[in-house]
Amino acid sequence: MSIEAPSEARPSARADVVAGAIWVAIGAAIVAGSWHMDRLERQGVQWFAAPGLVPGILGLFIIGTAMIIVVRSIARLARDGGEPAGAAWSLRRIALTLALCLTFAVGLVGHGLPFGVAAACYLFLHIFLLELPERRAKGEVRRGALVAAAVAAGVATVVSLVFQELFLVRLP
Amino acid sequence: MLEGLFALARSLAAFFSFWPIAYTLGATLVGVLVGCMPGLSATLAIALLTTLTIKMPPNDAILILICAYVGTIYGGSRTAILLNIPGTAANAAACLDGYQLARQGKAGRAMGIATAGSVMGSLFGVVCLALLTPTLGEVALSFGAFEFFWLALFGVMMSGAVAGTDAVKGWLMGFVGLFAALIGQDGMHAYDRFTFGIPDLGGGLSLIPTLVGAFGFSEILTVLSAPAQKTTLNAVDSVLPRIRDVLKYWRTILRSGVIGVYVGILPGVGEDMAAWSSYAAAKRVSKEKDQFGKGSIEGLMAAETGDNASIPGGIIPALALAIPGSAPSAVLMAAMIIHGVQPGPMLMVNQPQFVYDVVAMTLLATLGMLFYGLFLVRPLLAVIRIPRSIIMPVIFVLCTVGSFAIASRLFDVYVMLGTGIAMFLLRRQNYPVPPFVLGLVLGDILDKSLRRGLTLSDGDFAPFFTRPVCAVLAGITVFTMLMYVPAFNRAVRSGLAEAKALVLGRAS
Repeated sequence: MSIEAPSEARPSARADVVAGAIWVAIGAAIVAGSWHMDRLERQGVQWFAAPGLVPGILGLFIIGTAMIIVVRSIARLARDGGEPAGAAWSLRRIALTLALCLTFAVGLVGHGLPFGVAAACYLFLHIFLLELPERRAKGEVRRGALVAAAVAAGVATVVSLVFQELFLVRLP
Repeated sequence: MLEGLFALARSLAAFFSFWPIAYTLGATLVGVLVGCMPGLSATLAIALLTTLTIKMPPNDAILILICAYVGTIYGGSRTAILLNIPGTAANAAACLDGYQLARQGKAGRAMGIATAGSVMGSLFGVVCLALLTPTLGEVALSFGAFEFFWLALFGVMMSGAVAGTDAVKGWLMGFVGLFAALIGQDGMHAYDRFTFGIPDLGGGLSLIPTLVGAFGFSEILTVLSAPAQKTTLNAVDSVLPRIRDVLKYWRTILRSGVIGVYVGILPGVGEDMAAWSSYAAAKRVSKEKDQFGKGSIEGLMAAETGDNASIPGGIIPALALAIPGSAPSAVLMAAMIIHGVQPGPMLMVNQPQFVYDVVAMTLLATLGMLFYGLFLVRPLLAVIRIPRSIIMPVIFVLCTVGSFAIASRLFDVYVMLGTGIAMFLLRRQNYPVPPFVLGLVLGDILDKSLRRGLTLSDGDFAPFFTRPVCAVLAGITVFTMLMYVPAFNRAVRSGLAEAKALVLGRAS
């Protein structure tokens, strides 16, 4: 049998430096936003009860931890050089997944199309396209389309019925 | 004491009827199936089922969530044993010996051991849940804003320290979670914080859609971004648990149960740490040390007893303090709040029966787990054969419906998508998600407790360090952080070694 599992890998030092720098920027933005937030002094609120106090402190903590990551990664970079990240990304698959998921959740859902129909279309396309390379290699493209269509129709019907009729939950 | 027993009897009588038993079997089955699918976590299962059960009476809904929680952690042992891939993070320790047993042609026996350990651990946890929750709740009645501030911070910091491989990234994620919880109207003055004029952000980031994104959509992207791996499914012999194994390893079961509950109670430390701690403790005192990692029954029993005992353990602080012990119990606590139950010290005063209801629910979930451990093992294994390319798109549809269902807002679907993409990218960089979840749940408590405490002390920080409970929690939190500073860690270790040598020298 074949199953797919995510592979874990240590990120490269360079990626850690970039991510750390982004976190420092986010932390600084939070601190700045908190500092400029209304302290409600006219309502008699003391500085220690001001709404910006805790977000500001958290922003400082984010900067502090991010700085540790940056400094540590720069030291690693100097020691080991810029080694590449270890894990293999299937960019085609990830781009396909993102495109289909976003089209379904942002473009189709809640814009007039019945949920069951939108879900069935999305499921058919996603399952069919994900399995296409393997099916094509085996010469089973038509069988793949049939399986995808059956799963799409079945799941869309069951989800709609279970959520809407059995558990009385509104669907988008 | 007697009053508590009567209350428990009332809860048990109410739950041992047709519908609760039907819900138990259904929800535990869902949990086992989710647990069987690597990557899908108990947190996601509870979050999605919270949306499905939102219109149900509170007790039925919470029963379903607890059964799914217990079922998921148990179900994860199946893939750990058969495929060497833990179904949930909690089952990673079970891979070590479970998979080795399967390779020796004893996969069924390994699943029987996992069932026995899980049931015994869960039962031990249920007893602790019944005994410790009222006691802890009573103690917590004396806690004020100062103590709750430290409890919240302690939970996030502990979670950050143990959740991943890098404590600094764990803490950063905890701080980000705490900050994310503060987006929206401030709880003291109703002032909009970081909403950028978006009306939907006024109520803050909804917890369930955010968690569905963090654990669901990000997992879908993670699984589908990785290349496929060919794995062999081992043959399965008899799956029935053996009484002989339970009797032979009763000390291991008891020890792992205690460790599991203790680790579960610690805020922010989840089932995975309970399993590893129980496994390590069993190996340390075992007479068959050399068998560990090569197919040790004792090792598998310890790991599975520990992780299942930590489920009721994690519910104890969630009920008594409103400080969840793990990410799944954080979602469970959020679901309780959605259903009108307010966990915390006042729970034993306002709704004492609910605590015993939860005990009865966890007991039912344990029986449901035993049912699926004794019967239907082979048919349930079929789910492992379903390709990820079919499962993941289906999960995404459920994530979308689940995010929308909480408040019937498309905005929540967008929150799910945004969180999912962000968490996917962060996980690629080894940033752990559980501290973010703990931060998201505890952010409001931390914010209000700090500001209320400072208001009570007129801006003086001293009570945060001088009150006895605060001093202990602050000490542990700071010490935990300092232990990650290499120089401090070395100094503490060498000091301990010297002290040990001194004591041993005196003793001899």
